[in-house]
Amino acid sequence: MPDKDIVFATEDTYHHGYAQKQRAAFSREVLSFALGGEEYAIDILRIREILKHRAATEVPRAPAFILGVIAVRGQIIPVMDLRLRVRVAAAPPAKESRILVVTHAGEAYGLLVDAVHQVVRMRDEDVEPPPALLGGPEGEFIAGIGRPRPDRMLILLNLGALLSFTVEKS
Amino acid sequence: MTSDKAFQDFLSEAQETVENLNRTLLALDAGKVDPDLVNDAFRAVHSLKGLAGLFGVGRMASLSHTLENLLDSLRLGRVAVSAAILDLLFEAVEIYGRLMAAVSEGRPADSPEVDGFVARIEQAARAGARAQTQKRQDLALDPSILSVLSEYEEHRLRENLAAGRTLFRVHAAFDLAGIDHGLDELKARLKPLGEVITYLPTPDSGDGEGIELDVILATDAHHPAVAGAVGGRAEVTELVAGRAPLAAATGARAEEDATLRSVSRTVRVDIRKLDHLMNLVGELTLARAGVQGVLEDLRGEGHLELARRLQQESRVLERKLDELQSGILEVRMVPLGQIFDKLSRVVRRISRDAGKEIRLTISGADTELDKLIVEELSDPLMHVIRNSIDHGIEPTDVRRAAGKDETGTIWVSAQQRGNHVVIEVRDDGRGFDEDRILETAIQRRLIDAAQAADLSRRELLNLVFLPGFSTRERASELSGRGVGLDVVKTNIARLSGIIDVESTRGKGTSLIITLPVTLAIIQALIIRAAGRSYAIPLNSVLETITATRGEVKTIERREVLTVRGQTLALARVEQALDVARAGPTPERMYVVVVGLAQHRLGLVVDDFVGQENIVIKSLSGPLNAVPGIAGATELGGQQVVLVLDVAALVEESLRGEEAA
Repeated sequence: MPDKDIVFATEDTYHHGYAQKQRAAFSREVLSFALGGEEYAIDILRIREILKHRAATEVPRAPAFILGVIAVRGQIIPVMDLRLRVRVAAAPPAKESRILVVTHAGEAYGLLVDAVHQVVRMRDEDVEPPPALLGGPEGEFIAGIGRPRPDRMLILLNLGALLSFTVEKS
Repeated sequence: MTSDKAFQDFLSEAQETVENLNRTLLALDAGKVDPDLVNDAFRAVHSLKGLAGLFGVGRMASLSHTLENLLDSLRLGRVAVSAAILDLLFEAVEIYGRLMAAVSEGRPADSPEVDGFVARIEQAARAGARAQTQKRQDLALDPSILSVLSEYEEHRLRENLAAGRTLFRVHAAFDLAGIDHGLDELKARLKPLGEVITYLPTPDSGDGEGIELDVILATDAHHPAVAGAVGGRAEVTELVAGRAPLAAATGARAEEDATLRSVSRTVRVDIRKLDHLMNLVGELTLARAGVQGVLEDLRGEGHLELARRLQQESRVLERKLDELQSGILEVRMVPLGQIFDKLSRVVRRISRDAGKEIRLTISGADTELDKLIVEELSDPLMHVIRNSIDHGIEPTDVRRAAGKDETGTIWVSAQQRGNHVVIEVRDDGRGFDEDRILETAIQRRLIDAAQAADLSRRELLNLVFLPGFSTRERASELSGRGVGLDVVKTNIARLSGIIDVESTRGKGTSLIITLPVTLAIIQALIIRAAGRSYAIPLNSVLETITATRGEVKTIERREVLTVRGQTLALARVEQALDVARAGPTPERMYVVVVGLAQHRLGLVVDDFVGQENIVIKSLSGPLNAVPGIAGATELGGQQVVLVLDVAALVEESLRGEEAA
């Protein structure tokens, strides 16, 4: 009777293991989008849905980069103009403009971007730390620089920093 | 370890059990010693012991164990129910509360307190122990029955015989399949007559088909009444004749049975689940608005017959949605009695500590309010009562000297008026001293002497709600801790409520709290200002008036309007919120008069749009802190409007007034 504990590798199990190893290597999936001529990206797991642009209800005393609030499936969520937040010159919303609904600390937020590109898979080693010269207030929004291909550069955003802001007290 | 949800369930079940225990103790405290009440208390503590053991809350288990022993002794008559014992039991309720609070916050349960308390209970039990002199043999009863009685049953038998009741044996036969139901039914028939001591299988039962039981009943009723109650289904024999005259059987016990049954039909629901259902109804309402839009399109394109049918269906849908909404609201409602019970306990303890005789009279305990409001109301109400006991009711000797009843009275009453509930806390104490109030307010620089001269009596009394006001030089142990009526006012305002005060020197003080029935879904006035729509909760709107620009005057650059001879401070919504207005303000203006507690403010708006039922949703993240905005609501067609926080706007306007 053969020993049950010994499993011989077949061609199938070999390929299966290899594919898993490949998947593990490309462990990062990000959604890339356009903003002021540059390409940015956010971890795909943080994105709940993508909406067409719609008018938001203005919230008084909120920072200028908060466009207001919108209703999504019965939930009221704030919408941030990502251009203003990362200090790219403001531009009116266009046909390709989208609102990315992201979740952070259990709450949903909308981020207005110029256009959504695609889901990009990357290995951990494709991500560089943020360049030191990008200090200052904008630097803290950048989690790293992704280089899925030598000729492509994605600015990976740090949601926690983007979404932490305060409102003016009267 | 146990899961979080299971632990939450444990806490809520334990809390409910402790509340039941408290109610039982209050009933015991109010009337004569009813064995059923002692049994209820025993059962409550017993289940708390089980719960605590299950969830590893050792302190609570050992407390329950000691209490269980004490209550068992009370039940068996080994220890007499006395005021001292009741005090201990009430104290136990409070210790349970503290233990549960500690456990829910993840703190260790406070052990020295429990240990000391346990020792005191044991001591009290020893001190209260009755001598057990009687023997079983001295009872004139068939030894075959006597020998099988438990200690408790024997005690109850003895008590009933001592009370002069007659003892009957009710012999009944049941078939095996229906015995549970049959026995319950028989007991239910007998209970209104007296007390069922026990039921015993008879020696000659057991032919395989059925079972025969002897039920031993102690009652003031005579043979025909008992025989009538069982309706010929059982054989009734008198065992020991009683001394009592023919007494009418009371129906109270049967009623008690009915309520016991209804308890088992209730379910406990997390309030958040109800919030979720309420949100769903809100979304359904929006979906219906969408259907209405399609209907208009159909009509516009000439499909009149289709439009008519759709209109009919849509109306049915609307009606059912309304019913669903009010159904959910109804589920959220709980009687105020829940907190009134706690108040009785606090009054009992505090009045004793303060060395004052105080009677608490409660009415309207069945008035219902939203669960969340009731929860939040507990602290402010407790504080108002403490204030009455501490500052309102005079010491006994002072009352005697003033020719008043030595026992002070605090009345707590609640009643529903439309969409509001009015709760009044009134005492027959010394009342507010207007001169002292003025003196203190000036001394604390809350007002200056010139302002003081202009105050109406009502305004003067309302000074006590200002932060930093406290008429006593030294905060007392009871109402001290640096918390004043201003905190009460703030807490009530947070619930969109209003508090008012009336007081007559020497006669007493009355605090009147007006609250909305629910905050889950509210009626709101939709207004427009500076090209934007906003919602104002209708429960804070007192009236709406129209005015022209010419009628507006200014006092120290602040706009005011004279309404029926009174000065009303105005605030323009767009200015209060710092939003820009394109173009000039219109000549004709609308004023929404809002009230927060005793303050009034006129919000100037451009137009009224209408009235809507809305569900307020808070803004997420940092936006939650925007001053003047309570949240947002969806109005259909994906339109979101902000809901104004009337309390914050009024406070802001008051601050502006002080700064001016």
